[in-house]
Amino acid sequence: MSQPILEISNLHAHVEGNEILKGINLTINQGEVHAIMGPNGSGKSTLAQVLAGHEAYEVTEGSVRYRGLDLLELDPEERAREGVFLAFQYPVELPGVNGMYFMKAALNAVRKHRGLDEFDAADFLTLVREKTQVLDIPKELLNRPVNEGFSGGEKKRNEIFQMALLEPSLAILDETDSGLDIDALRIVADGVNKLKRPDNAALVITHYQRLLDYIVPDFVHVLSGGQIIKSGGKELALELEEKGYDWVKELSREGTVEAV
Amino acid sequence: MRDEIQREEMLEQESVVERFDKKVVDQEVIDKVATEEYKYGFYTDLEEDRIPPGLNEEIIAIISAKKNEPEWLLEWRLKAFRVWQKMEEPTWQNFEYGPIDYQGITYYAAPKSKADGPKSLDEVDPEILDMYEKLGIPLNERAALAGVAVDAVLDSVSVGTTFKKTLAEKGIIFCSFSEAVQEHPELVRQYLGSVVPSTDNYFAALNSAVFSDGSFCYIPKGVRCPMELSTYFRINAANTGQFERTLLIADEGSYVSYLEGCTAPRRDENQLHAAVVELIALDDAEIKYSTVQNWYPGDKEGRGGIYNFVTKRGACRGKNSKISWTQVETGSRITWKYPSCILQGDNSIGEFYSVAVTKNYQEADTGTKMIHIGKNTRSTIVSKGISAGFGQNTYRGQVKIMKSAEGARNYSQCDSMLIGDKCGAHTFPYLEVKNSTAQIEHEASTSKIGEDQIFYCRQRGLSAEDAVSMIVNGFCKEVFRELPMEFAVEAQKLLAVSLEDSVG
Amino acid sequence: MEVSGTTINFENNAITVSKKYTTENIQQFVDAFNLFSNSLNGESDSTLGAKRSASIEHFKVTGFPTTKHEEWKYTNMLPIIRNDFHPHLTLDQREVDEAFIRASGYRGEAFRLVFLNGHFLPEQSSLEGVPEGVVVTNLASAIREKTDLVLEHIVGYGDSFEHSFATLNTAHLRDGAFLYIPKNVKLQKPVHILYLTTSTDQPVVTYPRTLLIAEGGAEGSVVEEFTGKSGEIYLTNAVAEAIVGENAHLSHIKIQHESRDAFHIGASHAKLGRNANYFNNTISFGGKIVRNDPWAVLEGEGGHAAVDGLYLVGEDQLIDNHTSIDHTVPNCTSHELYKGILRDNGHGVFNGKIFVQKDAQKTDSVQSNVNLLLSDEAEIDTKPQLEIYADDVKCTHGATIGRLDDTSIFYLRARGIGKAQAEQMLTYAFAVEVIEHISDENIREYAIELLDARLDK
Repeated sequence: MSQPILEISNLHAHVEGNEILKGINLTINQGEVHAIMGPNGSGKSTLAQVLAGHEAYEVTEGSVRYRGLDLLELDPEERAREGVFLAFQYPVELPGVNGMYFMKAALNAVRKHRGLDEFDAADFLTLVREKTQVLDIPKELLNRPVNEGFSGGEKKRNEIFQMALLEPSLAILDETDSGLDIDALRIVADGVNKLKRPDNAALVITHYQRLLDYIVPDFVHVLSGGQIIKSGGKELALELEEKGYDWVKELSREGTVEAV
Repeated sequence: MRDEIQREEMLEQESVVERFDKKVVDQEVIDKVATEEYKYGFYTDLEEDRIPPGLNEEIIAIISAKKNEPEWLLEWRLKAFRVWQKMEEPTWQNFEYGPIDYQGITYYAAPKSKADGPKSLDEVDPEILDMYEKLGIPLNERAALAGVAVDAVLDSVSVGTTFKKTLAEKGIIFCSFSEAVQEHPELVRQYLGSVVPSTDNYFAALNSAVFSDGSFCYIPKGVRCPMELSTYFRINAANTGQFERTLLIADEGSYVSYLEGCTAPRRDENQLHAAVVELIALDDAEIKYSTVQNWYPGDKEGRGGIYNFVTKRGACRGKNSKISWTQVETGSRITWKYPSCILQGDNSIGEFYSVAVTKNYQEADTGTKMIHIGKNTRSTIVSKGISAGFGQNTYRGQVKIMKSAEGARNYSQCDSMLIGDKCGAHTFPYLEVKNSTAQIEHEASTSKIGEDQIFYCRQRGLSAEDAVSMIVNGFCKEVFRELPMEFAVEAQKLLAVSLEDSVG
Repeated sequence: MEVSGTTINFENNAITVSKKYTTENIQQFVDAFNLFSNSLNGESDSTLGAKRSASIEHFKVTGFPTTKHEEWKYTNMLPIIRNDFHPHLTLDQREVDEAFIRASGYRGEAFRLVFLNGHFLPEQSSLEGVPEGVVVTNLASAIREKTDLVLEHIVGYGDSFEHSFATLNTAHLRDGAFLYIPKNVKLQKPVHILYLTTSTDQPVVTYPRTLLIAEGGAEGSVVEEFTGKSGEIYLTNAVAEAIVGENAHLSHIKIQHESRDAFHIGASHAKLGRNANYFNNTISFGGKIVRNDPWAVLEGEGGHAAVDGLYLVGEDQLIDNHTSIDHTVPNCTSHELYKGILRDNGHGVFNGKIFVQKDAQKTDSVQSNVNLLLSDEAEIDTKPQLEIYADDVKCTHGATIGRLDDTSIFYLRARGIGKAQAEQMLTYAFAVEVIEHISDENIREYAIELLDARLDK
């Protein structure tokens, strides 16, 4: 029996006074890939931001256990150092901040936290070379300022590259497929698959089923109105694709009725 | 064939490694920033030769006599003084400062030494050498930063210049201003006041009347100065003002890169620093002038600190000449400073790159003037202002295209970053154009340090403080790139220290 | 809000003692005021009387700004004030040149108030069908009939003595235009205010005053138009005030095509309430020396101010625009676009200030000044400025000065269009962007007509 990495129970969260998450329950075990699907505005990205610790979101109820820790008690950087990685839907640009330097600083912050020796420039470069080969990331990208002037696809690839370097225990991919053409999608998915290990896990958030052709999930959850209204295996994604989100809304209404 | 490809790949890898290592090293220095607020605030107890406070013609005559100056120079000083007396102290739009008691200032203070000053570095008072060691500027040539010649100015006098011999072999004159007056009077007389007239403005006139020392530099025709030249200014004595003058002439086809650094002890009263810098670039000459200004900024409540009222101006007299100003302003209680370029020669180029940081109660009003006179003259202005605490940061700049300046071009970019809600950022560009072939572009933006940027960095495991430091340094990158390596590292360190407690 | 009384010559503050004001030739203005004051017949005892006397007393002390005054650095007022201007105290019906009036100004559908030399002409105006509750009238009537409403708002801006000419206008406050739109009323037709000036035997000075009040949720559109007989010398010294209530929308357009020998100085002050929307567009074609000071103060959260302008400066003309947008509360936005075309020996000045006060967090402000320099004799001095005291803001400004794009001209010529026509097309395209921001189609068309006429010359 594998260990749970993440246990979310009855999670409620607000942003600017509006309740977005209305009681999420979800457990992710080691070695598993979970996908969360749902229509726009269902709370998918909010869930990702809450797990990463964005201060704009206020958790009003519920708990999140992460590898035995109370995740909600931790600062964003502590969560990152503990191995929670969020691949942002919209990675921000950091003008003038060299990408290599940025990643070295991040990696060393994580390593230090884990009681490992910090990498010097040479060690770091060796690691970078190794990862760029695995992920097929152009080297030029890495020496530029973080995300500055990158195309949408380049930003997403950069996120996956950072993920590869930091080797998280829990990777959260927030609509990593949005805005990618099919080739870029394949590269990104390929990267994610290569990083899969028995002791880590991934939470893939997406609007469309097509990413799941490449990153095959163990479980699929449908999020609507701030709640998970249906869970199933990978075939659920196909069903969803076929029937559309109106079907989900119906399920949602039924759910509401049931709840009453 | 395959070997060749492999070799190419290896070379490319090498260059990536090299480039990258350099960057990492830069930044690593910042990480090791010391935690003190202002680490140059110490005072060295030196025996001083100082004249009584006050300002009148007699005092000026005493200063002139102490320097054994020729008659014409005394006359020049007195003329400036007489005009100064009739001038009004300027008032600026964005600041207020307490009245300066010009009669309470001591206009000449020098560490006591042998009657006519040290002849060589070996004769410099060991305590002074120690003080400069402590500031990180060893004057001992063996220990000195390789490739940087230093003229050290302490209070009113120059205490030593390194690498003079090496430079003399190339015909380069690099010495204290006083020495230049004695050794090269013809050059001094020809160029002194030719860019900043003795009566140009209130503080320049004051400086012209009472200046005590400074640096002088002449690069002969066709010579590329083999090392960075540098002046290190230090105010040590209390109740004094520092009024130094720098005169730098780059003769036809020459090149020089000049650096300037400054510090002062921590004191409760304000001290006045009113310097004048004049640069002259003749045909095809290029001057790169970099400043890292770190005068004592005052304490957290705004007590004490240096009033830094400086006139810096360069004349691109010759065709194809170029003057480039780069400044990193982190110190001083108040800074008023507009390093400018008069672009007289056809095809001449003026540049101004600036980072100004104000925190606590610091106020900086800085910018540039680009006066386009010659044909096809070009200028670039990049200004980055960072305000934190109660700091007020103003960019004030003028781009003037005269009728004669056919085909002139200017590009200005002024960005401000605000950290905290009690500071201010202001932008006052003056664009005056009298020629229709000119192309002028000015852009400015003001923004808060991005919360989303900080969150992104934290999500990757960095602390909020490191995130801010990294983002601010990134914001200033375009300016730091213009600095020589050692100075860039120094500047980045300073910035990190400056902003240390600014992050809420 | 504005910092006055300082010079910014930064380093050239040399020997001369700075003189920011001059009292040269003020006596004729004071004498004229006395004549005016006597003609009021006791009206001067009112609250307004106090405002008038305070203004003239202040003016007596300061006089007019000189070029040593930072806000008047590029615009010398001496050529104006050295003229021997006379106030036009009474209007003789014989002076009313109906043919001239009918041939002047916008004739499209509108509620119309027409003034000649500062005097209201009810016969030339058209006010039929003004909706219930809405007041469109001349200011003198409004002072009599809506006294409280007028007094509540008039001279309602910050430092009323800051601008010497506006102070002088207040001293002469008597008539002008008045608009009141009550709560939630949406005015369908624009209000057209036509200020005409003719100098008969001697140069005339007029002091028109406009007061616009849009209450909560009201909507309206106003166009102030200033014109006169070509070749005549006169001075129009106008002030407009606009109060834009909560959720109200007010469009305030000024079209100025005075005589090319006349002088025009106009200040306008707008105050915006919560979620108010104010659009100011100042179009300057005429005048010899022209100065516009459109100011907007955002006083309620959620407000939006758009301040646009177009200036076409030709031979012997100086047109100076000094705009100010003051963000005093959080969550407001402002947008500014000023475009200038400089021809012949024309001299243009632009000074745009954006203030973001301490509490005005989340301000989003964009300012842009774009200039086309079409002659070697022309000059432009521009100073876009930001003064920011809050941290969570997004402010940008930009200014450019340049010629017509050679590649664009070449492109048009390569398609067979002559050089002169190509230049004119591009100049027109450059200018029309500002006019296109006017939402009323008829007024937009009218402004374009004026632009065409002006570009043809």
